[in-house]
Amino acid sequence: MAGIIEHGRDDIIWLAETGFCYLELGDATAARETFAGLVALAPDNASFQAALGESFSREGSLEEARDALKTAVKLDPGLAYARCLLGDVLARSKRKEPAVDELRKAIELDPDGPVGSTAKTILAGIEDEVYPPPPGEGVNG
Amino acid sequence: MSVGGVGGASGHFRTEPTEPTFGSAAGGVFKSLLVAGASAATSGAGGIGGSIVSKLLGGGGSSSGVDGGELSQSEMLQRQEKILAESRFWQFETNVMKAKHDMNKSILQNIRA
Repeated sequence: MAGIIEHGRDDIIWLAETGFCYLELGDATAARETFAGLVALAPDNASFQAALGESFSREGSLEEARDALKTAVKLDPGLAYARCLLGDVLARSKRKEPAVDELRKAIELDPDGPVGSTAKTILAGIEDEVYPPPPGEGVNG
Repeated sequence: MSVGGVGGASGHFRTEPTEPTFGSAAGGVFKSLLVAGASAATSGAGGIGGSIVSKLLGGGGSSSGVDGGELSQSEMLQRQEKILAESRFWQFETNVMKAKHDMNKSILQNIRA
């Protein structure tokens, strides 16, 4: 039927790989567009919502990033990835206390994994007062 | 006992040095270069060392190493602190990006699974 495009699992995985590649390459806008497409295709997937939030964050759109990450946390409160990225965005928005809460939850959920490790790195930066970045600095400009 | 080596007469690279190498001819040259660079940097008299330090401290040093103006000690300290803070921040940001790279890889693996 016109207007309906069926996507297989392989297509979605391929799109997700593309989105993460854009993030790695530093093309936040292309990453955001890719993850926005994935969220449209799979609106209940918390990981895609979280990756969309990270793309917004790298573009410097902290409010949109926070909204997307909060949606991701609502979809899956046990997803450490979403909580870690939400903590990062809250820290960048100079909301220290909620940022620390989210990062601690991420560490609890993934104490020995790469998500917990990222959360620990960001938390250490907040505690050492290196984070959030001064205006005009950082990957988010 | 010395077995010779790449350093030859300077005393460097011997497997069993028989004399301290810090005071050798080569060590002396490096030491004097360092001392010369440092004194040029602090006096603002010029040279590569002076130019680099001057630029780091934002003193407006020219490419020839001659400074356009002098900074008070407190201004220099302030600028040094700013440079240190920025350096700490960028080091931190690098660590976060590395950690996020590993995190994204693991999320992608979960999506593939």
